[in-house]
Amino acid sequence: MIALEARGVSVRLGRREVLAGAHFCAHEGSLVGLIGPNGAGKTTLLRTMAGVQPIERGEIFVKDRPLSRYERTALARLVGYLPQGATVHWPLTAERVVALGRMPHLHPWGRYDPADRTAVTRALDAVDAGQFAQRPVTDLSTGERARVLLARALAGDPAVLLADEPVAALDPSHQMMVLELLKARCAEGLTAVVVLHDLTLAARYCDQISLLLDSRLYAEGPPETVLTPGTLKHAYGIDGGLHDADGLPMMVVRRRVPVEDERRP
Amino acid sequence: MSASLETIPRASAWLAPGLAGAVVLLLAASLSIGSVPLALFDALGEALRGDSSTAALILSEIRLPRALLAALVGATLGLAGAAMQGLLRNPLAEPGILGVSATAGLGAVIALYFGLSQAFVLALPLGGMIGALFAVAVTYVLAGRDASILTLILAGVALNAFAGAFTSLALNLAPSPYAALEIVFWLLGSVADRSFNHIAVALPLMAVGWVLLSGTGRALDALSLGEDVARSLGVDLRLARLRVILGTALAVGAAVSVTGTIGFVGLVVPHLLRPLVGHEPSRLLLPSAFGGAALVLAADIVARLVPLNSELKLGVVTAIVGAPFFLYLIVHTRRTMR
Repeated sequence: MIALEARGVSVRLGRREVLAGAHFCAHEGSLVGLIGPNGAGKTTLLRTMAGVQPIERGEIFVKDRPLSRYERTALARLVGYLPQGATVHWPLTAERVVALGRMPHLHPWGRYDPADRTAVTRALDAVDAGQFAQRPVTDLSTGERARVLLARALAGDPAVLLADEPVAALDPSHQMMVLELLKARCAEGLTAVVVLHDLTLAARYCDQISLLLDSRLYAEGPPETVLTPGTLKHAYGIDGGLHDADGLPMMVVRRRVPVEDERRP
Repeated sequence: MSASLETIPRASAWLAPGLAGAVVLLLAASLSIGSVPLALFDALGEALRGDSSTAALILSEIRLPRALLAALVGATLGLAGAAMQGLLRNPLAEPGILGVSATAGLGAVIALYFGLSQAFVLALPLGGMIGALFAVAVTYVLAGRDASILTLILAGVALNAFAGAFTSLALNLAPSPYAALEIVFWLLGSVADRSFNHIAVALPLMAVGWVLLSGTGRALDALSLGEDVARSLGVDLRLARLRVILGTALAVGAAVSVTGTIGFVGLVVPHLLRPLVGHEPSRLLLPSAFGGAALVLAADIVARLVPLNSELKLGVVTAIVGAPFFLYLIVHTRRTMR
């Protein structure tokens, strides 16, 4: 079943057309890597699918229902969004920040109940952040804070998680931890769309890769069908491809290729 | 492994009741202090029985409106300050930032200038409220178009400049030095010589403002994670923004129009109380209201106790304390944030 779909989505920011009829499709329970060169429109596509960026043309479907037809809170319970390099504006403790993720589940005047508390503790432990639950997030390192914010997004138990570069600030071990965590949650039914720049990680963990190029979807499919030498050369201007390293896919880039292709006039 | 979600600094459990108690004590102190020595409980009994003894009259006609107004205005400024800081996610935000205080002041100055306040007693508060509504209208139009916080702040700067220019014009063209002096004195901000009529005019609008502001707690909490995340958590940002702006304009506009400008309360109070509630915007609202009431009551008592030739104006006392605090905050925030 298709959990999330974008059909011909166009977005204009100022005079620039950031998305020009972009398509996207993610099946339920899959971990999707959203990749593409800088400025391809990855963040904007993620924001439109999170419902925080109005679209000019096209339509987003969440669980086969147009996003615009969802009630605000119902959508918030279904779709979690983790922006890139997110900040926390007050020195709240890590635990309070994660608890904010439960907001869509609270009654208008209600307080946190045991289920909320369990979800918060589970999310903190899942990202290996239980030991600094009571510390102000502003005192944490960038990587620690990134994990706390991921826990915040997971605490809401969304059916669809949209995460913009969630591993960019993490050390290799925690990068793997986060992707393994997402993979495990996807096995339980979560649909995760993750913006990644590390193509080796993308090839290794993702069920599907969606490659954006020039405000449109350029390629979509399993990692080995998307991360081909021809596509990499056309999209990134690099000479490289996937290799086998002890049975694991590994991205090898030999050199940059001079930009002579037809897409830049 | 991690403790209960309700773990917040222990101080916050007694914070609101404690501050409410302080407000009650300061109200009593405010009623007992004045140029005429008064036995508070005797006078109170006489006033309740409807006696028209001098003591009862002083208490009910002079000191009670003064003390009540100080508490109401303080609560308004504290609450509005806490809500605005939450909305703008900036500890330097203050109700005056929207330009509401200044335009409300201008409206009152116009009423003073044309002598309307001599013609009928409510001209001054009405003028102030019309001025505040002007600022509301401008910010409402901007916020309705989903303007950024920066736009709102710049609109506030423009409104402050506009109000300052016309207030200067009124002083410049004042028909007599006496009229100019009256304007200047009014602008200094005070709760002295106010009557229950003033309270009756201001209170309903303040109350509407309080209701609008106090319902924004959850949205302000969500905003700690930025606007996009708040939206993705199901928060109606436009509504929250409108509530804070409209609530601030109504409550602060009504307050300023009966007391003149009393600055920095909305800045100082939320800042001091924030660490005691674990920095959570929603938990800061109620304590800030009580804290603001206590601070303005205390400042008004200080203004009366300082032995000078003429009584200190309340707005002068809060500014003398608040302005250095503002400067300290800027220096401190620059060091710790970003």
